[in-house]
Amino acid sequence: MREFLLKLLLQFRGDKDPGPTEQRVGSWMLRHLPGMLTCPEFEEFIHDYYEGLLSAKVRRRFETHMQLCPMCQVHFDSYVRAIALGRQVCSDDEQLPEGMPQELVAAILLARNQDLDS
Amino acid sequence: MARQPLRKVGSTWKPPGKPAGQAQAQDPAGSKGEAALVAGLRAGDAKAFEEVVLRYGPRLLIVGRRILGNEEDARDCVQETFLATHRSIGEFQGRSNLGTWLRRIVTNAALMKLRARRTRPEESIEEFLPKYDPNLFRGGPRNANALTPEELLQRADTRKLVQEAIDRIPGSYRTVLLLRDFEGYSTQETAQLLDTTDGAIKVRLHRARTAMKELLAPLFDEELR
Ligand SMILES: [Zn+2]
Repeated sequence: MREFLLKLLLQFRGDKDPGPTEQRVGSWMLRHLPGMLTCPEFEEFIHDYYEGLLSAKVRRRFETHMQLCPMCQVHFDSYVRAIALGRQVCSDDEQLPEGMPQELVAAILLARNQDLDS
Repeated sequence: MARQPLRKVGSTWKPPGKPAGQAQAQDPAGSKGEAALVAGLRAGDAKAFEEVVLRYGPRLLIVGRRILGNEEDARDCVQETFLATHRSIGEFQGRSNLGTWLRRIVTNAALMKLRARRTRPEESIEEFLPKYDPNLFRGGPRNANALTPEELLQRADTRKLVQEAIDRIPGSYRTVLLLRDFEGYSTQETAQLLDTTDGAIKVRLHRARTAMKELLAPLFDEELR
């Protein structure tokens, strides 16, 4: 039943963003069909979904919620992009590191020599 | 014809591969040069030591700055790391490469400094966490632009925004994000480094990522093109 209604809704909607009617139908389905996750439950599973740790069954429930709930879909999509941006910015920093400050190199070499003497 | 979900993420999304930070931990000059350097360090050769400082120092400094957010402390940390290397090169087993080993030492040194420094109560992360209406539906935008991270990075201000967002995440959450997502440590390794449980790391990581996403909201706005 759930699968059938979901399929029907997605067929009807096609590639378009959901209009007001589809959004109402989607939110009705989320509230009234059995086995649906609420938004806070969806939130609880984001980490494990992103890391690929969910069982097939829970993953399906997670993805169903995402298809029916535009807010969670936007949220998850931004979550994924935010992580990618952070990783990219940090790894770019490392591609082009500035050299070592000369005074730091000198301090390190001096500390080593003192350590050898002591 | 199969229908598509409304945006490209959705069910077509797959977990990413190894984070970038891990690839960075490889020895940039290849392992052959490294073996000679390690032998030099073991023999107490001053030239080899200097070479190691010049080759690995810049990346260690970046790690120190990221964790500590302060140039002076970062430099102290790097200095301590090389001194520790000089003293304990005998403990280097060669199971990981020299760069990875040094990175772990500098990370530990930075975390120790951070613990010693953390006296004032931490800022709350609450303001960045999701809000729900009485029917338990999520608040927030229904639409976003479809720009990829690469496209967003073409914009002049993106890097600065990302850097500022990372800096604004409350400290203990930011540290988890740095270690786990940007430095490439696993959940278990991050838990060991921070002396806590895997479960606590997962919660903190998720909240830190969520905060970063909130702070970067202007980049995902549907008006942005
Ligand atoms: Zn939702």
